[in-house]
Amino acid sequence: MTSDELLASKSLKGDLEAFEELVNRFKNRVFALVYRIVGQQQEAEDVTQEVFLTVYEKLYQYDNSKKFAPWIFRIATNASISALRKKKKVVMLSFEETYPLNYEPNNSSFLTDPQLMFERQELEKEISAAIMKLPENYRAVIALRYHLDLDNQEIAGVLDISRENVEVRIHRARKALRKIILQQREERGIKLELSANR
Amino acid sequence: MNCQQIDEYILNYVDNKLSPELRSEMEEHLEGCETCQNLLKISCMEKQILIEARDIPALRDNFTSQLMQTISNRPATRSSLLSRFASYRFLFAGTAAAAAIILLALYLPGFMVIAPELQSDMIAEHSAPLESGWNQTGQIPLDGDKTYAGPGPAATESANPANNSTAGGPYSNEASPGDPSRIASGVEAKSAISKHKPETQDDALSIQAASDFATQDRQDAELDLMSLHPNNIPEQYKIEKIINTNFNVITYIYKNIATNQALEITITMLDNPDITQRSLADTASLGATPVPETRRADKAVLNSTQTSISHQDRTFEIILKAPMPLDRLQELANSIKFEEGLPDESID
Repeated sequence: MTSDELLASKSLKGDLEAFEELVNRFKNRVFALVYRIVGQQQEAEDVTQEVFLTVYEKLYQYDNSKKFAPWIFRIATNASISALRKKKKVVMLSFEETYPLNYEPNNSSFLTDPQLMFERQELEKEISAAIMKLPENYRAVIALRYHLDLDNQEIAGVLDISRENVEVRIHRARKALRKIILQQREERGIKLELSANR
Repeated sequence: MNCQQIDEYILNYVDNKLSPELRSEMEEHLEGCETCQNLLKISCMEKQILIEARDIPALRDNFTSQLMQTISNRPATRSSLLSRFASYRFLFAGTAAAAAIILLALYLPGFMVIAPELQSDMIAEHSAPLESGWNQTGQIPLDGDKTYAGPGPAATESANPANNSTAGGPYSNEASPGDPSRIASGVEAKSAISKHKPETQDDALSIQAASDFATQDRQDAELDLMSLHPNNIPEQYKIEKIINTNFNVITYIYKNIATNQALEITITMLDNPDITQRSLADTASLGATPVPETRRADKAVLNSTQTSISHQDRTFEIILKAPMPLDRLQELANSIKFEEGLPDESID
């Protein structure tokens, strides 16, 4: 398979098919990243489009000796954060749109237990809601680490911070996330013991 | 280990990043603590949920086609890259008596000078678009200069150090008589090149070009330097930087992905005859740069093509140097477009 880097190189020379291939390879990951930061589908789609247009325009800045993925994720992260900041005052999240309530069943092993499945659904909702309460740089690092499965070195490249800082930021983000989840539960009168007596 | 410590370590535990010692300490505590077991369970689910990200909706199906439509309505990549300069027209500020030189040099450490016959061939190939109003003469400027004294690698290997030292090196900044602003621009561009790592791209694409242009008296003669950029740079050369520090100097730095070698294209426009000579001397000194032993050992195919085209008082000097087979380099040289941006009335 042609490498991302070679496709980028071809795109720079005006090969639209190569660029289309790049779009197809990256659109879902970029969208997931953007959505995770922006938190709203329509907005995320717009930003995703903007990201690819920016990539197309700025391909000549891309250093082909480095991996393409971190470069595009960096553009996506920056575009998302700046979109969010621009719209902060006016964005009202639609709960239904942002956090779909109907989940497809999946084959995760621990979901065969109905009680666990229920807990999990609750937790998914809680986590989705909690993520949107995180500061945007925590949201970004969570998306990069867990959704895009980048390693610390790659995340460091995307966010322009040191590897050590990546580790620290992920840890803090996770802790902050859990804190928010627990707070949400507390507000709803649900205790951590939710699953204790099953 | 107590519950507070568990709280501290649990995420690393879930991510499998704890040392075996901490891990077993933790497991020991977990065995007897239901609260921490719940915490662990939630943390595991949390991680699973984060990874699966099922709350993320699907991107619309027609995303790619819409995007590609938007893009195909735009200029091609190279054009779009160049379009950043589209608003900057590179003007001749010269008078009728002034000579203008466009020096297009792809230079790398070490090169061979090709035979004059080949240069003539190249010039001939460029003749078609230039016929109206243009005389072309194959010139080899500085014929007496040792750098260009003879074709073949021997000339390179015996690169003249004396010439080099008097010229102050390949990117000589030394002052020269003539129009100070022209000198300054030339120097600026050359020092930018010599750094090899210019500031950021955005710095390089400084709006300064536009402001320089804005303050420049508009002349009849107009030339878009961008139009002289070769359009079939070999695939392995990827553009890395564009340095556009002044309206009459533009430098492209390419990098060969395979060999990591830089390839530079500098297009310089000078309109003062003194500077023209100066520039030729500098160009010669570029060629005379001694090639470091380490580079020589690469034994890359280093070639050079050189040609110049004269019309009335103006001379366009084109030199191509790159570590690639000669035929490829000639192809590259032939891809330089002369016909664009040079309307007849602009020449007078």
